[in-house]
Amino acid sequence: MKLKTKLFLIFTSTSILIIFTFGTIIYKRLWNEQLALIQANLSQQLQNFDFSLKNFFAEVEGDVNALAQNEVVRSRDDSQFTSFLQANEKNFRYNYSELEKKIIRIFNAYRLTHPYVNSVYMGRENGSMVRSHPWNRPIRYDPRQRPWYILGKKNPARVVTTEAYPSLTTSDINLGFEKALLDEKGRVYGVVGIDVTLVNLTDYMVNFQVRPAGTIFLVDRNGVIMASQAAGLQGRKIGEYAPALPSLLARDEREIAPIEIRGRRHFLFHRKFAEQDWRIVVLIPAANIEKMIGDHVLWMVLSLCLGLALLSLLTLSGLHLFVIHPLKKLTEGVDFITRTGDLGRRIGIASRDELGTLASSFDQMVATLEESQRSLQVKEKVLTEYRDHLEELVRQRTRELEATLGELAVAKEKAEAADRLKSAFLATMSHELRTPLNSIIGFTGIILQELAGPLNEEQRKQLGMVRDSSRHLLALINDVLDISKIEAEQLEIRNEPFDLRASILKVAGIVRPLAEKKQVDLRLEIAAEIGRFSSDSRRVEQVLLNLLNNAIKFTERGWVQLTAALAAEGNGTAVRISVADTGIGIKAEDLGKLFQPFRQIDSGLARQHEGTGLGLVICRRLAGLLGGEIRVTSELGKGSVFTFILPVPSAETP
Amino acid sequence: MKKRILLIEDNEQNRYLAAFLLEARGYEVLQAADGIRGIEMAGSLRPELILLDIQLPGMDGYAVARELRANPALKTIPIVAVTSYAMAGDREKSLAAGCNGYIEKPINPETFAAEVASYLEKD
Repeated sequence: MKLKTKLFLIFTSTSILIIFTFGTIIYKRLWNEQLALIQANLSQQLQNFDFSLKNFFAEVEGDVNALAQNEVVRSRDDSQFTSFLQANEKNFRYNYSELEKKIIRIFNAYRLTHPYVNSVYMGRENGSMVRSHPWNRPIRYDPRQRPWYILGKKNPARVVTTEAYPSLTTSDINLGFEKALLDEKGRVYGVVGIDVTLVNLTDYMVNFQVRPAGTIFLVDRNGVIMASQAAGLQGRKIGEYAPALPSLLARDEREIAPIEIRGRRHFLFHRKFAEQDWRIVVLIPAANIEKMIGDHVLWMVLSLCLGLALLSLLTLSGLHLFVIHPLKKLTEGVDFITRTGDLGRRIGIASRDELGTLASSFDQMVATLEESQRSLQVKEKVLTEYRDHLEELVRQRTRELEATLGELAVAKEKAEAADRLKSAFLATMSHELRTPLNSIIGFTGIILQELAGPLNEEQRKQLGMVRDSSRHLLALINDVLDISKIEAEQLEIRNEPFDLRASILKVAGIVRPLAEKKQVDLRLEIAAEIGRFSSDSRRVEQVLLNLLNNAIKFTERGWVQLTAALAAEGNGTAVRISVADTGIGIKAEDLGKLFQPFRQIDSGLARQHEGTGLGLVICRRLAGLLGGEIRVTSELGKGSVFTFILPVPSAETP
Repeated sequence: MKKRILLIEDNEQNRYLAAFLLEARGYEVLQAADGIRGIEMAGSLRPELILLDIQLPGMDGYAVARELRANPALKTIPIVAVTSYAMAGDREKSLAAGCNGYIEKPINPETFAAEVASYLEKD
């Protein structure tokens, strides 16, 4: 569903809801307001009506009073007045006395100047009767028996009004105003009356228009319809028109009562006239009120619809202009790019709203993509070229590689030649240095053994010095050669079973003379498990000899102790041989220098302790070649402990 | 009868030294200055033991040992290499060439004769 359609549907449904709710509320409110308005309007009009009627009654009462006060009218002598007590149509002849004529003139004058007056008349206690104008058909008539006379006589102090009654001669409703005539003693001797036609009143009443249109009745206190817009109801009881009406009329007139009349719902409005207890009744069909309200509601709803339609139209136009159109452009742009893959296209929406931002972001993204595509194309081109030239490149590289390999072979050859040269040099050096030493040591030995003849003491002492010096020289040469061979990786390491205990004892035997000479106590503590192991016995002995020699060399008094035992080392077992002494010790800062070549710790005694300074270096290297190591701890002035760790293969059994 | 030891050694001093030490112990020492002469003498004189220097001019000690071992008549004569132990594998190489033992240079004048004797006694 399109956005526009969706929004249109939302607008429509919202509008319908608003209109329905609003219409319902407005209708209810209008209904109540309208009823109240009708009530108020009618009340106002009925009040005016009431007021007019009261004025009118008061005027008529005043007139009756005035007639009753007239001296001529009040005349006591009524013996000559016309009497209908014995009258009938056939024999009756009017025969007026002068007094009576005077009275008739007064009555007629009044009647003729007051159009609503039907007749003016007077009855006397003697049964006589004076009228403003003669009856058309005189009949026997005793005023004393008539209700108006009785009523007037009963209320001598004031003017009284009779019940309304339909006129005998016209279709009018008549009303009598009666005033009793009183003598000086207060006795009634006659009654003066005016008959008033209500024709104008009822006409006014009947033509009185109510809005919305309804039916109006004028009802007297007995419920008799005196006037009505509906024809033929005059003089009938109101209950005959609608049976529910009499009881409703008895209720509060402020109440707007609904009533069903001949299947149609009506609303009843009524008001009582103050003195006569008359009632004006207005019946308005509910349909008329509804129609009137309906018109109102219809107008409001129509205006509302128009407003909402206008709002929807504006919103939808705005939506189209600000959202759908840019979105369409955006979609087209995206579509175009998707379809053609052409990243050169831009959406180009200039607005600064969210869609504008989206479009410009999109444009930016496309620009970035285009840029990266371009760079990819460049890379691809390079790659293609590269691929095209790969074979050539491979050939070239292969050539280069072959050249390199050739160079490498040459270099290797050179290196090997150098190696061979080095080895040859070492071998030669070894041989050439040893050969003269062989002679020196050999002949010194022969002479000292007196194999060549007896020696004197001096000769023996001096030759002994030659022998010691040459041995020392041999040791130095051996050290230098050892280091050289280790550096040239030419040192041969064997791995054969040998008796470590025997080796230790042998080495101890070699150094013991030196220890005894220095009066240093050489102690050995060899654990029982030290027996046969696999290693290079010659190198092990070399290490031990070096360590013991050093210890004795640097110890002036006290002892040197060698301790050998098996110990756990790393993941396996090792022989741990430590050589402890009570010698000069080493400064902590010098411990690091200890294993550097050609270094003898500057102890101020350097020349006192002759040596190449290679001993410990060789020891450490040898220990490393044997798979072990040498550790040292020392305290200056108290002594040192050198520990030789020689790993033992786990399969080995001592 | 004195036991005869053939000493093949190019250095005259060393030859003299060794011969002196051995003769002082009552051995008869036959001396050869190079490998070729040594092989000739071994074939003709049949010594009880041959002391063979490895660093010889021309034909080296390994070649001499192999040559001696190649002659079935000389096969059983013990050969002891005498060398200034120098390079890795010297000992293995000499044993592989047919030597029975190995004495290091410089020789110890106090123990040399005893060491040689130990090889003679092994027979």
